[in-house]
Amino acid sequence: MKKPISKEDLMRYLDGEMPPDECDEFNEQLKHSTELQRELAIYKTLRADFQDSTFYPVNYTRSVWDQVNAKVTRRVGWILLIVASIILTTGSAYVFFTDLGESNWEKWGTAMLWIGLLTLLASVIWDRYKESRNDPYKDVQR
Amino acid sequence: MQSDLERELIRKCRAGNARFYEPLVRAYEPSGMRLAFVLMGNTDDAQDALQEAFIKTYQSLHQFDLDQSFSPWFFQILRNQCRDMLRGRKAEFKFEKLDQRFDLCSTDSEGGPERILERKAAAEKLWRGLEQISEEHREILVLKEIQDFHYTEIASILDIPEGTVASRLYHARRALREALLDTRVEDQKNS
Repeated sequence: MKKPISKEDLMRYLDGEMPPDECDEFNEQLKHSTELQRELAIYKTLRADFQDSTFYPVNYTRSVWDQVNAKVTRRVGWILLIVASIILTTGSAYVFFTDLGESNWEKWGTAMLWIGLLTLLASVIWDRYKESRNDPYKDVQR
Repeated sequence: MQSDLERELIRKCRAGNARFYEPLVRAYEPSGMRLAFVLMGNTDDAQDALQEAFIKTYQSLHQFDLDQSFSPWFFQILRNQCRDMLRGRKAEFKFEKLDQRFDLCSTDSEGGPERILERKAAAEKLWRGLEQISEEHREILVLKEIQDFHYTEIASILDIPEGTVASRLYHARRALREALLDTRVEDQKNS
């Protein structure tokens, strides 16, 4: 007894996903069913309409690569910069403060100067970061 | 793009050479844009989704199984990015109307102006039909009809059993067919 054609079989046949032996059986049933022929014809037309259409915006000409590259490489750059800064600052501070040749007032003065500079730098970076997060035009290309 | 070449590029990207990512981006950008464009419905959101998907893909390259094909893996990330943007209300699903800026017309310019107009009208109807069906149906139709993926690849991208693909495709095509019929009835009423 022949297996009835299911909706999944119809799709697999239409999309070329049916094994050859099942295809033969399907073709046999197709010959004797006008309903199946009609339904298959409808979906074939739909497929043909899709294949005729590009669905691609013609105004999309600029590649996203520049933005992707900037985000991918900048992140690595920032990580390297921060790690290197921490290592160099910590090493320099250790050498400076353990150097017996320098007087205490010189050590404290230099330390305060650097802390002040770094605090100012960090606050400026933080402000710029917050601005860029809230900037409604950040994605507008120049 | 050849799978061996893709694997080699991915290996180099994993080693920290970001410049080897460019050929992958350039190769997958047109097909990625087609998918994102239909899922998001407009160019700006599609471009944002595509860009984010490429960045996420790069950041996850170390998780990629080199024995698998890159294509379904990338499209899965892109599809998830589109869904996240639509659900997180970062983007609103809105279909751009067919106007001079958007070309939905035939891939084949042969057959004279009448044939081109005919195909353009068919493409516009399809576009309007896609607008009316559910996101679930739209995405499976795009993967099959526009990207021409096999059922195994679609199952992998959508994270569904392979047996479900045929059934979902049937319902999606049926929904689109009904939407197209409704559009035709509306057009007849208006004319």
